[in-house]
Amino acid sequence: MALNAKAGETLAGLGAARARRGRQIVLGASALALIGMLLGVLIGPLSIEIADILAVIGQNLGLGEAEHITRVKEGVIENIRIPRVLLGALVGASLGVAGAAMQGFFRNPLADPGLIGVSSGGALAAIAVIVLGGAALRPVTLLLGPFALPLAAFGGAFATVVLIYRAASLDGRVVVATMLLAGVAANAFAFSGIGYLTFLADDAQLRDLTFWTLGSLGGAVWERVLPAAGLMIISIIGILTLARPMNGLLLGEADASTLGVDVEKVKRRAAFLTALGVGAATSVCGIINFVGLVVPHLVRLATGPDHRYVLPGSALLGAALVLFSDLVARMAVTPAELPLGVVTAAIGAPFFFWLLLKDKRRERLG
Amino acid sequence: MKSGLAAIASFALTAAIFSQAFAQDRVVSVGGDITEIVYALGEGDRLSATDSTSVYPPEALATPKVGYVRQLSAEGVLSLEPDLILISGAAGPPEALDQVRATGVPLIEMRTAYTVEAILEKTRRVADALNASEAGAALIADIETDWRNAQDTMSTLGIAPSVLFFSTVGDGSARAGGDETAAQGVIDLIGGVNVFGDRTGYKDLSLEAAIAADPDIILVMSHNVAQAGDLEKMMDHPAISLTSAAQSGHVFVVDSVQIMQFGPRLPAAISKLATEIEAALADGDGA
Repeated sequence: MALNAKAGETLAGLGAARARRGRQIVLGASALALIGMLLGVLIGPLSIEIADILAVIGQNLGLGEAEHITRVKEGVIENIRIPRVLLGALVGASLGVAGAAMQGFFRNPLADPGLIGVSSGGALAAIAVIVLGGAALRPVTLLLGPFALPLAAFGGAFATVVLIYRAASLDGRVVVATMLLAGVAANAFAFSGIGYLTFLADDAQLRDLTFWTLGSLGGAVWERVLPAAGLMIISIIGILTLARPMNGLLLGEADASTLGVDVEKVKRRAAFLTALGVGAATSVCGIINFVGLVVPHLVRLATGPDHRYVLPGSALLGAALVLFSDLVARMAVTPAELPLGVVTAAIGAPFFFWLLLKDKRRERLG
Repeated sequence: MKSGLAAIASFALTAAIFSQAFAQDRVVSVGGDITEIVYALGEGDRLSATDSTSVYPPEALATPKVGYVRQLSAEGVLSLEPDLILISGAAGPPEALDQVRATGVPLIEMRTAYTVEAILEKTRRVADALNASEAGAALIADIETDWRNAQDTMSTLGIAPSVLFFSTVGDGSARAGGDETAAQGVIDLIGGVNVFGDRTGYKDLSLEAAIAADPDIILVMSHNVAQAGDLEKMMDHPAISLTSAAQSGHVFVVDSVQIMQFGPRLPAAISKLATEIEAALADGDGA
């Protein structure tokens, strides 16, 4: 982009336009996420009248009784669709915002939780709890109760983030090739661990694992949703408050510290919060790839690099992507169901290709 | 045996007509063994869906499918508006089952155990749930008769071979069935000793381990044989090709549906399998 003599003016105008655009994108993404949640409650393999759905929701909010509605329909709305939609929205938002934060923190657009092994690190720890929870790790499961799985996943994810960052950073810069290679190693290690645990697992545990490594919102029962939801909400809000210091980081660490940003603190927080969100999301619905990669890219393409828009935009668009993908997962092969990870990858991967090709063409033209 | 079946069929038909007035007619059956029992009771027309492991009788293939037994979708199953759900102990995930239970739709889960007693128990429970107790009693009597005949046959054979239960997965990699599997159940039924009975589940198998174990016979599942092409190719699998059992052709095919699902047709099939094994072992150099 060429800047001429009137650079100052143009830049100010550009800044205002960007801010307006940023707000529009965030608004648009909120609308999409809301539509996704509505459709998620309204549409499902079992056809239920909208009036009945509203009656059940009204009943839960204490607005009258929904006596004429069958117990099956009530159960489907209360115990299947609503927890599922809430979980989908939170998981999508967590993965979207975590992807955006990680890309800001590594200052690299390829830093996706799935790509650099953070998701599989979380998965390894969670699977260890599933398989060894009754034996070697029994004290852990007794102590943490329903939080054992999400917290273990967080631990695994956090350890991976720290490891990758340690391996890839050199004098405050991140060496991209090293980051990706370290990610390959982390993924390989995690999958060897998962493979070993699968080998140890008994039949009933294996049943849990298959459900779980494919990525699905099918396990959205309230008892599992609530503990993970708490952790995901902490992570999402925490990351959103990092927008300004992360903008400082965009300038490079040296410049950021002269601007008064406590670089180390921001990085530590970002790493901690990302791992918390990715870990909690992974622990309830398995490994869901591409959301953390594609969503922040898309948002950044529209808003520019300002984290005040990229972060909330990624959270909302992530939620929308997961909710719409889950609609496809639920409706494509009724009465059976596709794994969600299959759908997000099928949507995400071609889209990412398209982005790459488009970028290449633009570079050639520019 | 044939006339017995016909008697049961007519009996079941009467029972079905009789019980129609107060019976559920939107039944979802999950698990090949359960579905087979429902059809054997003559109640197949009450099924509104089955799972992907329900492949026998052929009519079961034409029913809507709720997916793989372990990957059920709660709302998917409920969308069929079932008034009764019969599931095998292998069904899952547990969350989906909890969601279904929470809606109050009657859901009957069978115990998974790899014994003839478990087959009888499943049969009795399915028959009770379908209000088809008389057909159930007849089917149970038939299974018991088949099993007694099978035991008689096997006791005259007097074999107690050491057995390797060999299976292949996906990419063709080799597994051996250990304890707590349907494989162990089959080995117990034919009176054999599992050479890998000290391990649980299906575990990876190497050629060296197979040679060291030196089983008298090797059992393979029919769907694995179909994947390999034929029994010859199966015996050539690198993990077992050099064992003396494979070299002498003492490799036998276990029907993946009839036997491995532990449904009502198991006793007859086990007896046939045991006879085949005895003939080959007596012969010295195999089939």
